[in-house]
Amino acid sequence: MLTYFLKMIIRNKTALFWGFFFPIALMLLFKITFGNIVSTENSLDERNVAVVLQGEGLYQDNFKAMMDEIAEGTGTDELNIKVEYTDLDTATEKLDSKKVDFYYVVSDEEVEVHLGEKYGIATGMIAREIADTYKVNMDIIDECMTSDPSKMEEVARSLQERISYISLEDKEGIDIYMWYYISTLVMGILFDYSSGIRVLAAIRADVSGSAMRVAISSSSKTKMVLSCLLAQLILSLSKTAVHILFMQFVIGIDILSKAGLVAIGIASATVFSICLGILLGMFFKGDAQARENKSLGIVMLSVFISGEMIVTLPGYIEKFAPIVNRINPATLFNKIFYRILLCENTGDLMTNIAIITAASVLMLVVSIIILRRETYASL
Amino acid sequence: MEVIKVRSLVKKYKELVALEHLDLTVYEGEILGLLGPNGSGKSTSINCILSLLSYDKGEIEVFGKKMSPKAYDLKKMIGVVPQEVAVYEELTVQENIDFFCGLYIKDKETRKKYVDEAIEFVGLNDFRKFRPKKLSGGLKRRLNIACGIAHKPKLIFFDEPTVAVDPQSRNKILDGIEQLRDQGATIVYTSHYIEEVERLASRIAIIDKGHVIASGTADELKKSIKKNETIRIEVAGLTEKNIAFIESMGSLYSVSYENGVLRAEAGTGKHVVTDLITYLQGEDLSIGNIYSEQPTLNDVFLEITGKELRDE
Repeated sequence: MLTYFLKMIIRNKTALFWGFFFPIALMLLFKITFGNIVSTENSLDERNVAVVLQGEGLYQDNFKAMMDEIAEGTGTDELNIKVEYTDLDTATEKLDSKKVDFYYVVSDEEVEVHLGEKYGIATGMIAREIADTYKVNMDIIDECMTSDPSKMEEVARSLQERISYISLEDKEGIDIYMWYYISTLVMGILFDYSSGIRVLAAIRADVSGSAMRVAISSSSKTKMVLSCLLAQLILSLSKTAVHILFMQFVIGIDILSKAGLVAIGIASATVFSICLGILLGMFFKGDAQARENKSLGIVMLSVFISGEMIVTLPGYIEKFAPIVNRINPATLFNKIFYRILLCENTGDLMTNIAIITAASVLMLVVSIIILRRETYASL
Repeated sequence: MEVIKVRSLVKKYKELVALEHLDLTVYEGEILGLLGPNGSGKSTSINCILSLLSYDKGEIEVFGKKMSPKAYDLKKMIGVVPQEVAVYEELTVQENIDFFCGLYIKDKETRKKYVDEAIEFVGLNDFRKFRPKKLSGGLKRRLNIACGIAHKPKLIFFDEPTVAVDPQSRNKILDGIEQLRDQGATIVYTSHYIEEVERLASRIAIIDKGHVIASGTADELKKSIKKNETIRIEVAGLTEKNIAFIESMGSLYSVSYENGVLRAEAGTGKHVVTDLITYLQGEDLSIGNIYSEQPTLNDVFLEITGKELRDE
C-alpha cells in the first residue's frame, strides 16, 4: 500500500508543482532580484547617511530626533546606520563619491530620498522604509493635532512603542531578505496541506469514490491511514530536504550548520501542515478538488500575512492585532526558522518548537481518529 | 440460502426518511435487480448493507451473520462496483486493480493471479499500463468493474455500471455479469436501464419512498399490473361513435385514436383483439397493420411508481 500511495503522490503533477517547484522558482526569483544580497549586501551592514535639513520646524526636528535614535540603536527599527547632518551640495558630492549610501532632504512637510546611481536593493529599501515610516507617523500626529490634541501624548507614545515584529524582541536586528527565503521555505511546507487533503480523499468515503472502496474493504483502516500518512510524510520531507539543499548550495544561506534544529522544526511543521489539510478538508464540503481549493485560500492567506510578499506586514499586525501573529502558523514557523538560522540568542525557541510539536501530535491523533472512521451518517 | 436479509430498516437524514421499514432478501446465486426512481432509497439501502452508512433501526444480515463496520470476515466476501468510476488517476490500470485487490488479498502470488484474471475478464489486457484518463468511457467502466471483482467476492453490488457507455461496451459488461453469476456469485444490480434489469435479473425488487413496493420475477411483476396488452390498429375514418363502442368492449380501459392509429390498452380478462377486428370489419372500415404488445417492465415500473418526475 505504501508503495502505491508514494506513486500516487509522485505522479500528481499539480501537487508537485506547487509543493516542490514553485518554492524553488520563487527563491530563484528572489535570488535574481536581490542579487547576492545574502552574502554581499546584508541589510544589517552599516550604511552612511547624510541628512540635509532645509529650514527649521517641527517636521525637521522630529526627523532629526528619529535619525539620531536609529543611529544610536535606541530606535525600534534595528538598522545599522551612521548619520551626518550637512548641506545639500556636500551631500550630493558625498553621494557621488560614494562616501554616503544615500541622503535625505527634509523640508517643512517633505522628505526626499536621494540614492546613488548603482544602489543596492537593500539600501534602496532601507532608505525608503525610513522615509515612509516617518511620513506616516507625522501624518498620524498631524491628524491628531487637528482632530483631538488631547490625545497627542498617547499617540506619540504609541508610535514610539511600535515594534517591528520581525525584530524578534532580542534586538539582533532583522535581515529582511532572509525573511523572504524562510517565508518561501515555510510556504513550501504549508503547501503540504494538500497532502492532507489527498489523505482525506484516499481514506474518507464521503470525499471520494475510491476512498469508499477502501472504507468497505476488509483492510484495517488504521493501517491504511498510517500507510497513507507515512507516504505523504516521506515525500513532503524529501521535498523540503531538496529545498534546504537548494537554499544552502544555490542561494547561499548557511542552513546545514544547524541541521538538527532545522530538522526538528521541519518535521513538526510538516506534520502540522498535513494535519491542517486533513482538518480543513473535513471542514469544507465538496469533492477533493473543491476542498483543496478552499483550503488553499486559507493557506495562502496565512502565508501572505506572515510577510511572504510584504515583509513588514507582521510588524503592522503585531501593532494592531498581535493575536493573529500568535496563531498564524506561517508566522510562527517563519519565526522559528529565523531564530534557528540567524539568532545566537534562541530565547524561547525550544519552547516554541515544543508547542508546535505538541500541536502537531495532537492534530495527528485527531486526524487519525477522523480518518479511521468506517461508518458515516451521510455520504 | 439467504445471502442478504434486511428487516425493517429505517434510515433518516434529519427530517427526511430515506428508508422506511425496508425489507429485502437476496438469495444465493441470483441476480437481484433493484429498481426505483431517483431518491427512492436504492443507494442508501446498499450503503447501509455495506455498513458504510449508519442507520436508525432495523437488522441487516449478510451470509447469515450480523453486518457491522468491523465484520471484516463478511466484507472480504463482498465486492462493489460503484456508479462513478472510482479509481486513482495516478495509477495505471494494473496498479489500480492490484491496489484494490490488495485491500482484500495480502498474498502477492495469489493477488497477481487474481489481478491477471480480472484484467482478462474485463478485456483490458492491452491497456495494462494505461492511466485511466487515457481510457475511453467504456474502458473506464470496465476498469471500475475489475477493481470491484478482482478479489473474487461471493456477493457483488453493481450500482448502475453501464451509465454513459456505448452499446458494445454495455453488452460486454452485461455478458461479464452473467458470467460472474454463472461462476456462483450473488449479484445485486441497480440500474435505470430497465431492459438491462429484465435481461439480467432473476428477481426484481422495486423500491420507492424508502421501501420495497413490489418484488418478484419479471413475469410475476408484469402479471401484477392492470395493463395486460396494448393493441394498436391502423384504421382510417374512425368516428366518435365507433370509439365509444370500442370503449364499451369488455376489458379495454384506455382507448385513443390519433393519426389513423387506434390505441387500446387491455387489462387482464378476455382477449378482445378478435372482437375488435370483427367490429371494425363489420363497420366496413379499412384496416392496415395490427400490433399487439405485452406489457414491459417499464410499464410495470411506471404503473407502480407513477409517472411524475422525481428530481423536481
